[in-house]
Amino acid sequence: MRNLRRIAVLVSVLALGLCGFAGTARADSTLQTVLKRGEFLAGITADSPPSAYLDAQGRQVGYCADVARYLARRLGVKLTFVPVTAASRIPLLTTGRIDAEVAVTTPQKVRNEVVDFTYSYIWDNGVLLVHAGASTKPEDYQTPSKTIGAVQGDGFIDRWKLVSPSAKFQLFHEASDVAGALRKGDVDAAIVNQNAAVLFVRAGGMAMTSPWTNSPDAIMVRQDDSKWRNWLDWALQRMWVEGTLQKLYVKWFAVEPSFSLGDYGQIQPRVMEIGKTGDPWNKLPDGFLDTLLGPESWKLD
Amino acid sequence: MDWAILWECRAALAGGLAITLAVSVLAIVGATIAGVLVGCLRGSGVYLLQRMTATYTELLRNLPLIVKLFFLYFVIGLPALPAALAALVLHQSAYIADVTEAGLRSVGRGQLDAGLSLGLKRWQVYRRIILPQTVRVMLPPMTSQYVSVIKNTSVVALIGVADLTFQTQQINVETFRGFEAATAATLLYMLVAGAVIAGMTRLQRRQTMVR
Amino acid sequence: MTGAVRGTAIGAANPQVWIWRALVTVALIVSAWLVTSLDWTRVAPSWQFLLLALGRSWWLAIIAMAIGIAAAVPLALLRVYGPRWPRRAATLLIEAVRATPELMIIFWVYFTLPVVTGSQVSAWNAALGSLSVIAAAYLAEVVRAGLYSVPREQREAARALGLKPFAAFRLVVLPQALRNMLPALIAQLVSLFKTTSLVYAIGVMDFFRAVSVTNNAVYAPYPLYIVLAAGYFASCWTITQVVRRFDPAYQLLD
Repeated sequence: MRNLRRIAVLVSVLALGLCGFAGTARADSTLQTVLKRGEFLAGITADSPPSAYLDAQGRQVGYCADVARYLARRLGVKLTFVPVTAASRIPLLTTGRIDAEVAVTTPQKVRNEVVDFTYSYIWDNGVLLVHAGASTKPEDYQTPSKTIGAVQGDGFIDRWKLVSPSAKFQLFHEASDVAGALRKGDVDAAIVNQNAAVLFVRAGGMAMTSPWTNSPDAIMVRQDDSKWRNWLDWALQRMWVEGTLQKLYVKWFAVEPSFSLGDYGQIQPRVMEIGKTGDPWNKLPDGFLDTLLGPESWKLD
Repeated sequence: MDWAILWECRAALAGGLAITLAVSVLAIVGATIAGVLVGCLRGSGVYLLQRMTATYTELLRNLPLIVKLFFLYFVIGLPALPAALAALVLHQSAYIADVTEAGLRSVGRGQLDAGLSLGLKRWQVYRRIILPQTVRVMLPPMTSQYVSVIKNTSVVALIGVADLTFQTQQINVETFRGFEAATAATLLYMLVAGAVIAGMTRLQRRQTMVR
Repeated sequence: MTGAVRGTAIGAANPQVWIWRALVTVALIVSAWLVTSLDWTRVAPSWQFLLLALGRSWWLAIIAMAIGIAAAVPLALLRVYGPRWPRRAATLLIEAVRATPELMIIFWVYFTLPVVTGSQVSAWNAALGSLSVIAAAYLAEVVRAGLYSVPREQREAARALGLKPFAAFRLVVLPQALRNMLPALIAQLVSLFKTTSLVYAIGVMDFFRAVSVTNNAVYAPYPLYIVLAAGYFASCWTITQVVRRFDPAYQLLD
């Protein structure tokens, strides 16, 4: 009898203690903010084809745009694209003007010091864009006599300097200006990611070298926002289990993804267990997936 | 606010300033030559020349500078620096032509007749009497045109020329200290413009003294 | 093309007139042939997007003009009627903005506003802010010239009639000044419209950027540059002609 009472007291003290812990108000996770607001502010770029770019009518299209549309629908909120640039994406994120950047940002240590990243959802490479008929070996462009074109602030620049310390650069304001400079011969090669290079090569007159580095891209979120990052990680893994992510990958990049989401390529067990509080996963309306995987996914905006 | 970053990036800012100065000087010289030429042609009284120069100035003044710059660089295919200089010269010469024509018109016809009646040859009248007066009248508007040239050189950053504006952007993407860099660059531009204005004012004063 | 061409009374029988007309006709025929020989099918689907962007450029110019005038009038008043130190401060501010490159002002406002407001502003707001600053600085000079253009007697007569200073200014001086400055104001609007092309550098979808985006999507530089030039030229030239109708002698030294 006395032991039972002791246990009861212990349990109630523990319970009160735990309540006290739960009572310490933690700052709202972005997930809660987005749900409460009813709107997902997705930062996205306009000059990273085919991942995130504007079509000839100025509509936001690309792999990242479609992923953002899917995520918003699963959250059950409205989607708003917020245009960002390489220079503004981190300030916009840290000051709360966007909830996440769903574009092509590579997780790097210097970036991880100020923001956090989900699992990589684009497995890209760095290549050089060159004139048709020129050498396709990246080593041939590591001599000081070659001028390399790039956009100011491009993350590839520092990595190319590691590979080729004596490199000469010609920097431009925008990716399209770099391509223009390559076309007219002001630069011998332009640093681009492979996915974009494929499109340029298809347009004609240019070729691309073999990859000289890898370039995974992930969704960028605010520092220490684990609940939001977790949800996005689960969402990406669920898209993978469904097969939607692979289909979107093929739609935009014309190849099957050469990677698998998750830790060491493994999906977390029980990620499909949906429906707990704090894990919204709305049903998709009929026809949504078909439109998303079709050529006119911008209609879903 | 981290102003120390400006000292660390002083090489970049100095390089940018040098390029801005060089491009400004070359563009001012080029635009003056082209503009005065067109202006004289326009004030010559020959109908055909007036029509052609009027077309020249109208075409160039109703297009923004970067349209001309990008056309010369991307479509015509000139290298960066020549394209920049050509665009700046074309752009400003249209305005300088108007300034020149106004200046020529302001010097009365009577001066020419008086000079000829005094027995001077035509070219002597122009050199000794008309031109000095024209230059004196044109100096103030010309000063503002030169300041315009200096300001317009900032667009060459958009085609990859490493001028002051380009370096501002470069400092921003590397250190995220855009505000400090932009403030420094703005002050440097004002310095350059101030120097030109001071020089032109001294020229003006000297002209007035040698009357 | 008309310009402020004077000094030559020319008759239609003069051979120069016919040479000029012949040159113009040849130029028009050659341009028409060049334009029709280009491939417009790839550019055609984007016409709505481009037209909308042109409208957006105009919208930027008009709003910046409105804000600029609202800021310029107090500045000009300060310079004309103000006490010594505020007058010097206003002059310094105006001259500082006028000595700075427009692209630099745009970048500076784009970098400064987040520091001032505490959060990153949208590219559109930064563009509007910087264009308004530019407009205000140049319009302050226009307003000041307009105020000077009204003879002193007007103000004195208004005061003599018993109007308070501010009423005298508002009812007598300001309307006349505005009427005198109208050509200069419209000229500033045209100049501002051309300056809006620079906001492409901070990501605003103006006419220039729209053409650039279309060129990335469908690589067709020749038709697109013609569209670009035609858009800006047609807009600026028609407005300039309107100004010339008001005041033929006005020299648009912008």
